[in-house]
Amino acid sequence: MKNFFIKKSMIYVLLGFLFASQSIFAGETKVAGEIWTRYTLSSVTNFSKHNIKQSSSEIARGYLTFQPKLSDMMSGRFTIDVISAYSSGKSAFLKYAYLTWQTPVPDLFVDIGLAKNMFGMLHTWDYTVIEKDLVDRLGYLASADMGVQIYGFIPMGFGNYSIGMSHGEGYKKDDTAKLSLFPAYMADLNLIPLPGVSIGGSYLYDYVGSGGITNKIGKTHKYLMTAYVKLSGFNFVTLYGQYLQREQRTATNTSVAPVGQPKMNEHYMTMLVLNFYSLLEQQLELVGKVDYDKSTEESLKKGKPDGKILVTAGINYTFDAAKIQLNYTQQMSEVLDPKKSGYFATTHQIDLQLVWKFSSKIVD
Amino acid sequence: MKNIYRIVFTLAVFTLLFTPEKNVYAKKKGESITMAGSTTVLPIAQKTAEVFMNKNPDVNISVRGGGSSVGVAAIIDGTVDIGNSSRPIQTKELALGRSKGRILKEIPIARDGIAVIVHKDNPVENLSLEQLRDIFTGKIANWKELGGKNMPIVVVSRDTSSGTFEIFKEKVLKNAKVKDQAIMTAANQAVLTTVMDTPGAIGYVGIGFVSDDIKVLSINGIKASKDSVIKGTYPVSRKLYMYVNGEPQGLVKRYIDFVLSEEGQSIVEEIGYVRVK
Repeated sequence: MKNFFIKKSMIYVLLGFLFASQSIFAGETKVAGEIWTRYTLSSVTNFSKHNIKQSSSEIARGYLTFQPKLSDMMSGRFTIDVISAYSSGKSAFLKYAYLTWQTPVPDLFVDIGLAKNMFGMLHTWDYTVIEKDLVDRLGYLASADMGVQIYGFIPMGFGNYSIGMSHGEGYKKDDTAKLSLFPAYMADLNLIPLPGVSIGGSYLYDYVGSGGITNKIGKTHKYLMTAYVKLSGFNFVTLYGQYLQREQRTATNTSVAPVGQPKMNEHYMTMLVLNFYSLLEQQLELVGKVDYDKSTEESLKKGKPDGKILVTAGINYTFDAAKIQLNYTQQMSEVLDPKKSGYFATTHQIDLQLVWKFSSKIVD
Repeated sequence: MKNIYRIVFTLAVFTLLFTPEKNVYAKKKGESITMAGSTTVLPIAQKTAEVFMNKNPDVNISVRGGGSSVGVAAIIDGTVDIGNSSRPIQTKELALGRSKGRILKEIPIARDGIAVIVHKDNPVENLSLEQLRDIFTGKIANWKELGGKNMPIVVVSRDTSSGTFEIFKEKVLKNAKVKDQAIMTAANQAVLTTVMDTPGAIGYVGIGFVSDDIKVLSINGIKASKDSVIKGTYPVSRKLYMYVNGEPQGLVKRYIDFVLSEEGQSIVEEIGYVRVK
């Protein structure tokens, strides 16, 4: 159930099914692909040749997607993550494989299968910067997981909501020994009280651990909470703000089970996007983003803070079906020392990325 | 640290150098209008744009099709000035638009009947709404069952990005599924051509696309025509829309006012649609 790697022969069967669906089902199938080619230059302290850590080009992501319209009420999505398959040595790697069912209730839908996690801005993150959404960057929650999501839209466009249940381990997790014991439960509410003003919040609970359900030692209760705001105006400026909190309680012995000592992580993100389309009639964007990962109490007690600040500046230019992105990211780490305390630059990174996409609709 | 500045500066210069000239020397706002969307609205948009440009030689109006969903998405993304649609906007599109700060204003510019068409040699003249639904869902598969020739029925429909399909699905199919063997096409013209070339075919198009090369069937005894749409007696009719971001202003307002003017509405009628004013 948790193993999403499937054999090559299985992929051929699935692809064959999808192409055959053109004769089985009336309707249409959207076929889409995207390739992310990236050059990364990163260094410690500065870009002098002695400090260069990485200078490499790669195909960072590659997806092939089929979206068949199975009926007027049902559609599917099937996405193969080509690059993860290649790098993991597997013959195929699924990112998405789900059915969307439009319920008889207006504007209410159900996704079943390996689908997007609707948590915070994770499912709407459109990579204005090359970096992932906050919760994904930190590895707290993957962008896709096996489960069921029920979601809908508030009348008049005043927002959307969802509740869902998934494994909580993400689509890449392959280690069955460390898999979650129970499903993760999540809920998300996004309100748009005024045009250009979105306010939302999400909650997730997961119970993870190994060694059987009855043995509570080592098991962790994981709580993820986020609040976010997005402000858009003047067809020009968009400002994002997000707060994310993870709390984990691991039972260390049976007497304190099921709730052990809490461990808290807090993170903040703010991003400013300027879109020059209304001025230049070209899709040119300037982006500035600051992430603040607060030091945990545990690390502070040890005198080795793990707090970080990531500052990203970027330019995006979209033309036809391609987007060029240039990002510069500086990471600063917290130092606690009688001589120098504060945040000091530790790494610098420049990423230059070309994303190109294609899509085509096959109609019967 | 100097190296970083050098790299960033060099890349910034390259970005500017490779930026097309029109990025930097953009056209003055107000000299052009861009439109995209419904293929049903396309003939109205094209003809009114042509007449408007003749009256205003310094104005350039660019009109593209793509389907209603494309038009609505484009106005939400802010990549066009007007999004054309043959269906009302959906709740999820409204939400997406609001989240991007768009206040999408819906402007009905014409009324349209969806004409049910068959090959011109087909002897059948009239269908009930129920019979039409049964044909498109596959319950009736031969014209013989409807008093016609012993000939299999070939169903021709529009794809799901089409506003025409949305309205047909709602008003005729009552949200039932189109039969699996139906031919799905991407444009009104494609439906017309397929029906024209296929003796057993049945399809549907906006009344503006009706020609002498095909036969229009009556539905519940009423034929799709301007009169029946105006009177509200034809059961498969709808409004056609132009969507703009906020209250129309400047050149967009002048163009929309023209479309809704006596002259603009006469063009709507000339093309074969029904005026809203």
